[in-house]
Amino acid sequence: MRPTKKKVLLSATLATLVAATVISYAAAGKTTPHEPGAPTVSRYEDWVPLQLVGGLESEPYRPIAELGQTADVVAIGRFTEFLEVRELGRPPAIAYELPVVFEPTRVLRGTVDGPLPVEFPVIGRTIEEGVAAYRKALIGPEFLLILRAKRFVGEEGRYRIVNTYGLWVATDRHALDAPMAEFDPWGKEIYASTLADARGSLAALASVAVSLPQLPPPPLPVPSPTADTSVEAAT
Amino acid sequence: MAAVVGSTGGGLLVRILRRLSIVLVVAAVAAFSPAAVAWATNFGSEGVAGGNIYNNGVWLTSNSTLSVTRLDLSATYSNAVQSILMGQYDPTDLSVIVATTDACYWYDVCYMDYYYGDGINQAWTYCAGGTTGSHPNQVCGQIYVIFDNVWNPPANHTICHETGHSVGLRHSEDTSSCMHKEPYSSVLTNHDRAHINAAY
Repeated sequence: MRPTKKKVLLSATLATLVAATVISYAAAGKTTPHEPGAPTVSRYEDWVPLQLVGGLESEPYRPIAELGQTADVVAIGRFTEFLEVRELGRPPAIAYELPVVFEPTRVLRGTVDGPLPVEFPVIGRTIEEGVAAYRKALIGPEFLLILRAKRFVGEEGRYRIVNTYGLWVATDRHALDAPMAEFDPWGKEIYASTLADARGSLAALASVAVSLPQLPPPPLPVPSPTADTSVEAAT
Repeated sequence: MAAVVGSTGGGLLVRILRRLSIVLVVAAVAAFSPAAVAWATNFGSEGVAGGNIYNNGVWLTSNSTLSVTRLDLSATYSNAVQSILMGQYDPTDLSVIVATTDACYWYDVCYMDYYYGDGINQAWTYCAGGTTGSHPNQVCGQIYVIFDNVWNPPANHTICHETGHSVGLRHSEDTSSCMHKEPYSSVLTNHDRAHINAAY
């Protein structure tokens, strides 16, 4: 009897462990039922195709309020349309920028007359793959954008996010994510406390982004003497 | 104590708890070690090779001879490549060769600057192809370090940083290292050098 009892107890314990593990993993990956307009991406790992790894960003990381302080536009809204990719550089080093139309529903800083073309670097193995990753991530959810107006020859009227922490989305994990950032913002000291205060609300985060007086955008960098400032025709 | 309870149901419970503790320890190690090690070591390849040129990444070169060439570089960057490669990387176990050519073939790393407009990155490291192995030990046969010359990024910082990405160094939390995400330094730390020497 005792060996049987032992086996039963051991089996029960192991079964409980396995069941608990399975349930916890399932719960971790579980998303709430999709509602119209609700975020379609929930887990931070799902943003990986958009993350920029190893690059040196044009504008440094700053607390959200300081990012917003020099931003040309801070707005909440949705992406609605993908435009044709734009070529930069020269063979074999051609780079592609993807303009995506952003329709603000609430402009918190800056002057906006209508939809904004926001350009993203096309990453991925092919142009199609890169565009598909943006399409999957950007269409649907509401985003907070902290934007810089592009200022170089041939780029007037176009925008980019100030840096990889200029694009925020509320997830169905009741959290806020920065989909293009290399590091989870909740693990970054300069963002974690702000995010905790925002309690998963884009509006609350946006109010932080415009909490300081607006400053002029940073001065234009000086092109190097050999810089060819021509822009190749859009495809 | 163990002998007393060993002959009772309590003994069985103790054994089960022991096994349970082992299971939990093993599970904890399995769950947390990879991430913890990856963060602590800041070394190893990552990223998508080939494809679009904006693909960022961290790569490894094939052996301890690091041959680089300067393609269409301004004088500022050209001089900085020479200075940083010989001053920071040659003293490691890497043996550095710096050339100036009009083609990238035959070299591990090719430095170039060009106009990429008002983009989110001012410099990045791109693997054009010729990969062997898999992450985190993927070797790239043709690495480009690219500068967007409208930004004119600080030459020494940037070259030290992006070259590090060519030989396996990821971003570091150490502000004294040029591998910090926002480098204010143009030097490798002892920690960085130890990673390079271990790999090459």
